[in-house]
Amino acid sequence: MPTPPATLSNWTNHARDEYGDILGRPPSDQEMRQLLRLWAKYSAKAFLNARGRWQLKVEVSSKHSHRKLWLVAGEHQGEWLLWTVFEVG
Amino acid sequence: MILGISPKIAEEHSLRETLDAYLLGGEWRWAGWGCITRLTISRAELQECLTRISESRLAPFLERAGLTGRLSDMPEEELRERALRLRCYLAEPDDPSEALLARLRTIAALSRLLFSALEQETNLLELKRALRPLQKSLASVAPELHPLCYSIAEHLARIGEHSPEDPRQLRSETTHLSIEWLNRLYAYWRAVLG
Repeated sequence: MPTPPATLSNWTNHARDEYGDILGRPPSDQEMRQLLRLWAKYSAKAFLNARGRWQLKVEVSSKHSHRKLWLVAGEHQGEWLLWTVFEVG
Repeated sequence: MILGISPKIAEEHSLRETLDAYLLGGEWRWAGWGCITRLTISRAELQECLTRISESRLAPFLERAGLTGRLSDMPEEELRERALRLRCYLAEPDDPSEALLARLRTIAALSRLLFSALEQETNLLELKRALRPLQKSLASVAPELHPLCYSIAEHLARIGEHSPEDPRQLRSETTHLSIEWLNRLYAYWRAVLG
């Protein structure tokens, strides 16, 4: 039984673009790191999606908003990266 | 021609199909030997069809939907809105709720976009830009379609200028999924409106 990566070492440019689309502005490095921290915190809940990537749902709260986001992790050259991010609505 | 039913009922059935094809941007039809063709209806064909039924028992519904008089001058958006009302009257002769109209409006807009993207092989980034706001609206007006919204959101999250995905595979999966989404939208539309 495969296990999800406990931590992600970085994010793809695409994940950053997608999070920017959700926020309506480019995310800061700190905001991207927050997603990696959330992954590390909840990684045990991740499941393999139909495309063979690990995925989990997290809640991101700030002063102005509260969002439920899906985080998707993919492997690239031996490193686990935050592959993409999405919100359903 | 539909076998075993009266010409009047057949005419109303055909009107429903015409309205559906016009509002949804097309309708799949079995063409024999397992082939599927797309039925499309132009504005002129719709107007012709409405003129044909203007003397039928449906005349009061045409009036209630605002589909009498000179339709050729009416802006497209307005005509679509009134055609949608008529389609609702054919399903239930009472005024449709605003909530129902909002759901059907969004479904029709999504369907037209997907049909046109399939036909014109729209660039994936453009498709994503157009599709995402509609997917968000659908999630808010039709929460029962959340799993469909999830499927759209999940796939759109793979498309992007810096996407690490294989572009050819992404294109082929987008085509396949667009057909699946169209079928799900159509099934919902038919479940509501018959």
